[in-house]
Amino acid sequence: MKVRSPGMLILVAILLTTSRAVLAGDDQLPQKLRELRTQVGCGPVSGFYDRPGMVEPPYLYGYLPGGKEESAAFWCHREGAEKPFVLVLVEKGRVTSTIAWQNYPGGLSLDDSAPLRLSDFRYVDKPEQRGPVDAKTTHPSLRSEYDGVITLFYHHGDRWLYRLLD
Amino acid sequence: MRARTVGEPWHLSSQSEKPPEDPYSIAVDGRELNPDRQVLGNSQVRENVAKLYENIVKEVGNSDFTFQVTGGDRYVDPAGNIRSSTTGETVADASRTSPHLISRGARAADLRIRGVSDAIVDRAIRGTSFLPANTVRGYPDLHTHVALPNRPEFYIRPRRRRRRTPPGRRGR
Repeated sequence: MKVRSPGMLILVAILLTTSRAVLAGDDQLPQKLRELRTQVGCGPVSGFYDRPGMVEPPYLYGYLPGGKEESAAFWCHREGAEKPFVLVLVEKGRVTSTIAWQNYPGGLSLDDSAPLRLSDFRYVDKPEQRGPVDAKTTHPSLRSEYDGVITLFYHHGDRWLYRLLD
Repeated sequence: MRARTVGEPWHLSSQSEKPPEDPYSIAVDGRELNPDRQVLGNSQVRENVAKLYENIVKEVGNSDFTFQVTGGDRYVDPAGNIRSSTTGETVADASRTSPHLISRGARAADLRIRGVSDAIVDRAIRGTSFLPANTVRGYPDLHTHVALPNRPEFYIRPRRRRRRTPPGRRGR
C-alpha cells in the first residue's frame, strides 16, 4: 500500500498497533490455565482453530467428577520435543499430570458413553500393554476429537490409559 | 433382487452393476501401493496416496521402504453397524463420524509405512492435500491414518447413474 500523507501514515500506525494488541490477547486458554501452561514450559498449539469443520476448544473444565471448577485439562505445545503436544491435567489449581503426545490435538470434551472396558484401552506409558481385564470406566473419559478421530484418556490407579477410535 | 443400501459399495450388492476395471489399484512406477485392493472410492484419496508415496521417495532418494494401504472406506449398515467396504466385516474401534465413512466423504486411508521416519512422512504429507492435523499414529497395529480436509470439495462424488428410458417411450 502506498502511503501518501502524514495523516495516513499515522492512521496506518494506529491500525497496526491496535491489531497487534488484539492478537497478543487472543489466546486459546483462560488466564489461569495460561499461567499453568507457562509453569509447565509450554506454549499455545499453533493453528489449533485454523482447520475446517467443527473444532471444540483445547481446554475443558470439570473432567473429573465433582465441582466443575475443581479440575481442568488443556492442550499445549512444547517446541522441539519428540512428542511435542502435551495434555495438562489440573486439580484444585495445581498441575497433577502431563501426557506428552505425538498427534496433533483435537478439541476436548467429556465422553459420557456407557462404561467402557479398560482392556480396550492401552497404557500411555506402555502402548503395547492393554488395560486391566474385568475393569470398566466408572466416570466419563476425557475425549480429544477432530474430524471423526477420537482419543479417549482415562486415569486408572496411578496411570493413564488411552484408546484411539477413527 | 435386493436393492443396494445407500452407501454400500457395488461389490457387496447383488445387483449386476459392472464395476470399472481394477478401480482401487494405485500403481506408481510399477509398484502396487494397494495390493489388498482396499476400497478407496474417492479418487482424490487414491491420487494423494500416490503423491505421498512419490514425495517420500523424493525425500529419501529410494523406494526401499514399506508402503501399503491397509484400510479404506466404510459404510453404516441398516442395523447401524460400521462395516469395511472391502470385507463387509464390522470395524473395531470405529468412530461414528470417521472420515473413512462414505457418508463423511470417504476421505481417509490407513497406511502401513515402515523404514522411514515419522518426520520424513510428515514432511511428505505437507506436499499432498492430506491435512497434516489429520495424521494420526499410535494404533495397536502401528498404521498411520491420513485424511483429506473436511470440506465438500474433498468428499467422494456420487457415481452417475444411467437413466433408463421407460419402455413405452423408447425412441422418442
